[in-house]
Amino acid sequence: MAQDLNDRAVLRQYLLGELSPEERERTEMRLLTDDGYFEEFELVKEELIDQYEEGELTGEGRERFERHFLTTPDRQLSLRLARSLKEYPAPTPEKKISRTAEPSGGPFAWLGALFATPARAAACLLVAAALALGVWLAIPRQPSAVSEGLLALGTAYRQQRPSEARVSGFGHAPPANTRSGDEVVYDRPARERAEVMLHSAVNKDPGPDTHHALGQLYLFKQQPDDAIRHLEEALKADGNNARIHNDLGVAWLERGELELRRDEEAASTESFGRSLAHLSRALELDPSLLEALFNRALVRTHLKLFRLAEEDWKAYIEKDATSPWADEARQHLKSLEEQNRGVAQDKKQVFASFLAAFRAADDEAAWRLLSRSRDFTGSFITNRLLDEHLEAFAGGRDEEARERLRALSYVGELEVQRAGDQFTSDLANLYTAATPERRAALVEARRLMKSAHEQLRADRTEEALKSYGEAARIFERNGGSCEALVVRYTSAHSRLLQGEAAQSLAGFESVRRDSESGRYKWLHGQSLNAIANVHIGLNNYSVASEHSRRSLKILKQTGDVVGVMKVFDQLGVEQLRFGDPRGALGFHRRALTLGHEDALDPLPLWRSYFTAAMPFHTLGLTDAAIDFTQEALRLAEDTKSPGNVSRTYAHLGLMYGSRGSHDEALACIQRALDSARSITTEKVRTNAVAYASLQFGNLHRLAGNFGRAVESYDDAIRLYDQLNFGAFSYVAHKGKFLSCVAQPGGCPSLEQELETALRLYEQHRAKILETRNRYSFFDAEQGVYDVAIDYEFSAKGDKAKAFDHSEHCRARSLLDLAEAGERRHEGLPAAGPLPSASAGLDGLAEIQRQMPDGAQLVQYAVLNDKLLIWFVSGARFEGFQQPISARALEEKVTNYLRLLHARSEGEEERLRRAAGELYDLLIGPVAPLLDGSKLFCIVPDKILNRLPYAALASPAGGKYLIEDYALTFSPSATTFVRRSQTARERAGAGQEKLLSVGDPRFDHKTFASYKSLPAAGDEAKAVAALYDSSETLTGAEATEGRVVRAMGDADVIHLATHAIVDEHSPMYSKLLLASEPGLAPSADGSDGALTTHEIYGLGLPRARLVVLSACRTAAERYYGGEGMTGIWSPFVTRNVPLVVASLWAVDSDSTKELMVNLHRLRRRGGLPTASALRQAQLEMLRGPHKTHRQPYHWAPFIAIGGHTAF
Amino acid sequence: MNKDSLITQSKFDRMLEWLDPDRERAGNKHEQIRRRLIEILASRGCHEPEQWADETITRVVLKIDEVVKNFEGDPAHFFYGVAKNVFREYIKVKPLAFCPPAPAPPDEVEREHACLEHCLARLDEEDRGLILGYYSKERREKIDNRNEMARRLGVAANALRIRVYRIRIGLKECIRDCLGVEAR
Repeated sequence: MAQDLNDRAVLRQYLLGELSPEERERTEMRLLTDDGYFEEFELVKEELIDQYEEGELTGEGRERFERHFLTTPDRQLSLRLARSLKEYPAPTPEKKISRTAEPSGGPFAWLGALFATPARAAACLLVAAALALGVWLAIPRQPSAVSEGLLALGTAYRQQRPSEARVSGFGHAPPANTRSGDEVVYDRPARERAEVMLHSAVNKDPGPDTHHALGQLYLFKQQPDDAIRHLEEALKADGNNARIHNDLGVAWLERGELELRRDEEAASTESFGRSLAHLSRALELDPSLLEALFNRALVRTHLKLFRLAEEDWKAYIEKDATSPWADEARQHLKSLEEQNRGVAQDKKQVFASFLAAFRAADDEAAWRLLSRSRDFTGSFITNRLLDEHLEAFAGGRDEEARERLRALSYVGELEVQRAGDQFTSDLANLYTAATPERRAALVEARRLMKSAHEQLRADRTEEALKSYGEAARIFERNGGSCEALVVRYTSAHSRLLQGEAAQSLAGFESVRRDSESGRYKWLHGQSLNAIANVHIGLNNYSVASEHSRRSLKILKQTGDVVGVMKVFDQLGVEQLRFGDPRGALGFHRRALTLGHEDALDPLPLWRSYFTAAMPFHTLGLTDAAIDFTQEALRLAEDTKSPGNVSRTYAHLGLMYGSRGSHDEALACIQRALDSARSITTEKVRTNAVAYASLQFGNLHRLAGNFGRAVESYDDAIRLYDQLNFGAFSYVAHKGKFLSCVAQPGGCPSLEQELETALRLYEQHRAKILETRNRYSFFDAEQGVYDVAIDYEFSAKGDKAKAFDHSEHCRARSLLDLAEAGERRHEGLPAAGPLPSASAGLDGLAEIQRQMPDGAQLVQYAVLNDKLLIWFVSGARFEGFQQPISARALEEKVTNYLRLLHARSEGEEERLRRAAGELYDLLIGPVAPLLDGSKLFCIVPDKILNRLPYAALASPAGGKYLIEDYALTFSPSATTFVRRSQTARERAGAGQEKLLSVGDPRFDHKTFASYKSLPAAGDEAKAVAALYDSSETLTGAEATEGRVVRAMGDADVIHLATHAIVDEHSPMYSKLLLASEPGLAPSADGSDGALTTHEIYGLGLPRARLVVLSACRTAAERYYGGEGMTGIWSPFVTRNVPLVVASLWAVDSDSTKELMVNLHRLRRRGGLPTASALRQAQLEMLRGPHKTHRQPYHWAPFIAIGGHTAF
Repeated sequence: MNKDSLITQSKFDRMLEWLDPDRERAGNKHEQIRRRLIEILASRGCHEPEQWADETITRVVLKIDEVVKNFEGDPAHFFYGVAKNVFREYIKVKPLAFCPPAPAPPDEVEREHACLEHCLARLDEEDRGLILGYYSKERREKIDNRNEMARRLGVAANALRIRVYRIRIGLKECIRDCLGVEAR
């Protein structure tokens, strides 16, 4: 055995060219004469191939394999065979490999014909396939590679189609039930043929037809992302092709279904919205396209637009009554109708069911019915029991009266037991003990209260307030404080509807306090939710969000389905205000799911559809937004509230405007105004008219009628000022400012509007406490600053002012957090607003004054239609403009990154060209001003945050930027000068103490997909060897606790480990470290991972340099304004002058080489870090390893922070 | 004049006889030596090892009378000596640059896929199940899976490895045939 192992080791070395000439000769002699040895040789070859293919060969081994082993076509064939076998699905009893029927004339007759004489064979294939398909396939019979491929695809899926949707051009096959886990039945050889032909077709002729066909293949393979990629490519060249739109709609539908199965509700709702957009477009282009109509019905069902889905199915059956598709359509329609019948229980039935449950003592059923029974006035079951008790009592029907009172007590007991809610119990006690006189007074109070409820529902708030006031007095006088509390609560609602935010808030706060102390849980939850609603109106989004979440928790305990639904919708509204429409969609979907299961009134469903439309609108998904608003409009009519009708029409108008249907839009807004004016209560009317005027303004702006837009915005601003209602002030002023800028000749008040809009923007941001929500808000509202920057630069020619605006909106959270010196983020209690760093922000003059002598800075602003570039040094300031749109720039950068990451042979020239184009665009204008002896600091914007500037290549000389300059990046100019200052403070000449961490033994069970990083362990030790004073923590020693403690005492921190990036919750991105042995995760907070929010809490008083030798530590997600977030960010926030981090997932071996060289050049070469990084990158670029010379290997790491002498 | 044309049938027969008096065994031995020379030359960085292995054999055949008279020992050793000389000449003509030849064009890869499909279908059920099972899964799972397969078949892991290797060799030959590449 030992000899065998030794033989294998020698043979392996032989194959990788690692033996000495003598050993090699011995091995070769034996290979020629020893049969067993030669067989072992063949096995080792196969093993090496497998290891290479699995990625188990790394670094030098991998390179040797490529250079020494992979030298002949035959060995390459072996490699490809291994790869194919690996990709080939393993056979299972259910899914056997099917044999291809071999035509006579030998095993390769079909193949030979296919590839050797394609025309003749194609004809044969067509005949054979058509015979096999019968009527199934209805695609054009063109003997091209595309049609051959599609025929094969049709053959492959003739027994089953993988999803419910219809791919254009394919006939009927029953859908597979993939949700139950069944495999799709298909003909594997036929699909393989389709794959070969369609891939080949795209390679040879990458046009719309070939991309469309390949997209269809991916649809059948249930790879929607790949399908989307190819179908979008097809659409670029053939944008008015209804069939491509249909298939893209199918792709998004499939993607949405996949997301839904993963419980990603927000993402799935967005995907369904995208699907709807393409399907509607397909029908617009070709109303007779049955596939699109069929698919639209499906996607509308997914979106819970059931009524519209029903209409589509009916329309489908009218157009196609006989095909198998029509049978499916009828089945869908029947299901929808049954579903609607199932939920269409009215209150009468629910009440009867409750009484039955009470009589049978069926607590579960009774509780379920109570859960559905509430609206903003309380439970209708409770109220009806009480009313019927009082009526029966008054009518002398004693038994009935006693039974209703017993039922009321039963409700009270259930609520106490299940939710700890005392309200109904107190109510039952009140009426049980009431004297006849008191009972009569309470009956009168209840009559007034119910009448007020009806007035409130009809927006007659002044009358309602009057009735509520009277009812409250009677309740209080007669011991009915619990019912008086309900009246105070609904009165506060009336105030809110009148726009009296302060009085309303005071009312809700008082109800919250009293309901909390009285243990009236439901009222407590409702009042918290109402308080949140008022705070939204006051633009206090963080306070609103906090109240909504508390409310949700309580209302879930009370089992109030409609209440929970209302909170979900409110959370959605808050997310939208934070600039996160996707997050909003997730909440609205949850609300709608509950609503369709349990809501008995139109009002909560109206609210859900109405509010859900806005995130779709914000995402540009106008078709979904219109569908949702139309559904809301139908429900608004049912609520009988002219205010609801007015607001719904206003939104519908705005959405039609977005779609370019200007006449329909104006008609809708007019109806909104008409409905608003029909409201009898003045304040409610003013509020509604103001809102309609605001939407009029938005509509005119969209249509380019900027003068009319300004007038409408002025109306809205005036009316809101009358009401002293700030909810929409920012929106109205922003709209007016944007209209003024766009209007030829501007407005007389433009400067003032600019100032007002930016002031209100600042007021908003100051009220948002959570870091993530701040990022989203800045991202969404960056457009205001972009317009301001453009206005100053282009219209006024004031480049310095434009720079100041640009600087003013950058990396503000980072600066605020740095200034606050404490962490304040989601999940942690926020004691108050973050201090705004605005007052301390540096303008151009201050930045130039503080600019280090050895540095120069270039800052970018990516605007919608242009790119602005500023050059700043201590003595010079220049501004440039490049005529490229944000979208075109993004395409260029994305294309460049795709080439860079692909590392494909033969693509080097394209990569160079792309790098050259970007160089010309980004560096070209400032190149004459740049001084090679100075540090070059880059402040990127938007997509430029992802760009490895070091690898941009001058088309003139072909040199990479890094060959001419040492580079540093910074999220803003202010951050650069401030971190440069910190660097000066920490630049003591004393000995540097290093903390070097590598290959920590992290919890492989929790992080199962991550491998150990032996190269990172070697790296940590090699780096430590370069420092006189160091602490090295590797393997099990590198626990979170030890690492964190050592960080506080280190000047230089080097962390070589895995980074896990969480794009959705940036505070929870993490670096993997070793778990604390024997400690529960919560014992000292050590859970084996150092998260971003934990880093914010660290004290790093000495750290001058942090090297994050891990994947994507510099690039998490970029936000407009805030810039790129990442694990680097908390270090810079905690005053670390310089962080070295990576833009993409890095190769462990090349990173080790780069990192060791970086520290060697710092320590032994005496170079400052940015220069050392540059030199290390140049060494790799010019080094012996061919693969490492690719930018992919040397360009990912960047220095972020300030100018340093160390 | 082409060297191949100098090889007469009688010389070639003498070479075979030198390898083994039994004609069939001699033929196998010749094939065996050729295949191993190809691997040796490929491992030394020769991009066209078949061509240079044939050159080696040709030279031996041309000198076969002398060789039979003067050389004692395993004929394979003689072939090896000649192969080293041939290789020295090769690197004078084509200095060694250890790098892989250009990858196969996409069309070729697609044909290979189609051929793989065909050749897999030609395997018997058991062999097909064995080779596809053997290459399924990744990393740790792959190892566990292979051990489990060996356990089920009642053979040692190494025996399974050899068995799969032989299936794979057959599969590769079938694919080469399918592609119209001359079998070696």
